[in-house]
Amino acid sequence: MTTASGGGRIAEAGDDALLRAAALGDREAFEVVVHRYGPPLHRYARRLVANEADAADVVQATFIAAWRQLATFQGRSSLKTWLFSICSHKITDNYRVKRAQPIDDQLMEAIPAPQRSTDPFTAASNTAFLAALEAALAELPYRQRASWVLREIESMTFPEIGTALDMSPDAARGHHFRATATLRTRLERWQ
Amino acid sequence: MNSSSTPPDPLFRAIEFLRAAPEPGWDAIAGRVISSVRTTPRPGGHPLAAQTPPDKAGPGQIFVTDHVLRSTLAIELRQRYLCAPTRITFDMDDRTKTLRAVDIELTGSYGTDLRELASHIRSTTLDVIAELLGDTLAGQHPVDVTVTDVVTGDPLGA
Repeated sequence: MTTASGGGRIAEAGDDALLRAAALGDREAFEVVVHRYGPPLHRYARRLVANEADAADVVQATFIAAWRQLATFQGRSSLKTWLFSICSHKITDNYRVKRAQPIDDQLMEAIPAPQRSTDPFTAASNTAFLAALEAALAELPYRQRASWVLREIESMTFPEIGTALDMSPDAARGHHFRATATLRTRLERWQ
Repeated sequence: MNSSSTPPDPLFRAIEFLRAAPEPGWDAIAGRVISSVRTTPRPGGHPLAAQTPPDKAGPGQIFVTDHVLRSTLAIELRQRYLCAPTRITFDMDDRTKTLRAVDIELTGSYGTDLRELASHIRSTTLDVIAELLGDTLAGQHPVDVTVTDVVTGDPLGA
C-alpha cells in the first residue's frame, strides 16, 4: 500500500515527524506543534513575566521565532526543550521578568483546622493552597522559579532544563533544590 | 516526580493538579498566535522562474520561491502517500533562475512497494512543479527519490 488518507494523520504525528515536516515548510505540521506546545509554554510564561499580556506576547514571539529558525534547527535537543529554550530567551531578552515579590505572610496561613478535612489539599482549602503556592512561587528568584516550573509542572529533566535556561544540569538541579526548600518552608503551615 | 528533596504531600498534590489543569489563557490567544505564524515568511529563499501562460503573456516575469515549492511538495506527498518526506532539495540554474532537478529523501513504511511509491512520488512531484512553475521539466528525468529509512506503521508516527 502506498497511499494514505493524509490530512488527519498529521494531528497525531510524533514530535520528530512534525519537526521534519515543519522544517520543510509544512505549515499544517507546525500548527499541530503550536496547539501541542502552546498551553505548556503559556503556563510557563505567565509564571515568569510581569503580566498576562506579556505572557501572550512571549508565546507568540516564541512560535514565530521557531517557525523562522526551523530550517536551521540542528536537532540537538527535543522539540519541547528547544521551544522552552526559545521562550526563556524571549523572556529574559525582551520582557519584564516578574520580580521576586515579598508576600504578605497572611497568604501563607493555612485555613483554621476545623475547616480542614482529613486531606488539607482536597478539601475546601484547595483554592487557597494553590493561591498560596502561586504567591510563594512569585517570591522566588527567576532562575529558581523557572527551574521549579520546568521540573515539576512540565516534567523536564535537569539536562533539559539546563539546555532551556542556558545553565549546566547541576546548576538547574541546585536552583530546583533551593526553590523546593523555600516553597516547603513557606507552605509548612499547610502540612 | 520526586527529587532527593521530597516535597510535602500537599505540595506534591498541588503539583499533580497544576500539571493536569487546563490552561485557559492559551485558548484566548491561540487564534492570534496561529494567525501571526501564518503571516510570517521564512527568511531567505531563492526565486524560481515560472512560465507565463501563453494566453496571459505580458511584461515582466513570474517567480516562485523554492520555499513555496518545497512546502507544497512536502504537504502534497505527506497527504497522498504513506511516507514522511525528510529532505527536499532543488538543483537550480542561478543565471536563468530555472529548476533543473529535484532530490527527495523520505521515510517509508514496511510492506510498501517502495519502487511503486517512488514512481508515484516522482509523478506527483512533476504535477506540482507543472502547476506552480509550468512545464519546466518536461522530457527530462530530474526527480530523484531516496528512501532513507523504513519503519513499521505510519512514518509520521501517528
